[in-house]
Amino acid sequence: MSEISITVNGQPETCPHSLSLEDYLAGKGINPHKVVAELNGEILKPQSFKERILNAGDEVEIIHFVGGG
Amino acid sequence: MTVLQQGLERYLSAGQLDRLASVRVGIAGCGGLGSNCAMLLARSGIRRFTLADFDLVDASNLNRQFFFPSDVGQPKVEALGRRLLELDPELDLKLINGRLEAESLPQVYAGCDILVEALDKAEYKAIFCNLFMERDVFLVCASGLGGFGGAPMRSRKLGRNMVCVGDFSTEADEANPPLAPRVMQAAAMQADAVLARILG
Repeated sequence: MSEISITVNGQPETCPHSLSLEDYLAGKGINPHKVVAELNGEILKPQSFKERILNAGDEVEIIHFVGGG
Repeated sequence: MTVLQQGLERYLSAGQLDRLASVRVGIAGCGGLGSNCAMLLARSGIRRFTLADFDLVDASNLNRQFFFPSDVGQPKVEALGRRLLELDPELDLKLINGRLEAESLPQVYAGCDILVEALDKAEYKAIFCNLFMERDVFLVCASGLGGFGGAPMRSRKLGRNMVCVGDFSTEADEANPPLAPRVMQAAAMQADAVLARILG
């Protein structure tokens, strides 16, 4: 598999290959239970993080919540 | 007409005040974000609120929350309700003093046009937002408000119906405690996002 370019929160990123959003988050050390995400303008349910594969050109918006209110 | 409403007429048109008065804003959590955001929105002409929190006012809240020493020991929703009614005795307040469970959230906030996420824990913020961001309601959340002098706060949009404010990095913890200036800055940005949605 060849590496792919995606955009995460407006910044270009390169991944070694296509991977699920769940795997992407795990690779960044991000707890998926603290996240809301949008893929190509579509809100993603947390249950779909595992099955949604990130492909070349995808635009991902991730809000990784930190505590405090 | 209340004194606050009289005063607001100096700055906002009858049409704008009608739009603000017609909206019900639901606020989840009445701590640093929620209590200040509710106060700012009441001052801005919002008349209908649904407020929920399970906690009691503690001395450690007075550094940043819209409470006063005589409120300590009282349920936060009741203390906040009293403070808001001092500002405007004719506000329409629905107060829920209890823990919010995911299953009951849609019922608690039924009838709300706009929701403000003002919860403390990151996991609860995510649960709340994931629950409502697909519904036909405008959602304003916050992330990153601890400490002082941190990264500039900004406002991000997700989808058509969600705005998140904060510095997106500074967790409120022992190293970066929640202090009034940045907590209130985030609460004020949430309130401004609500006004922009209604009046924009």
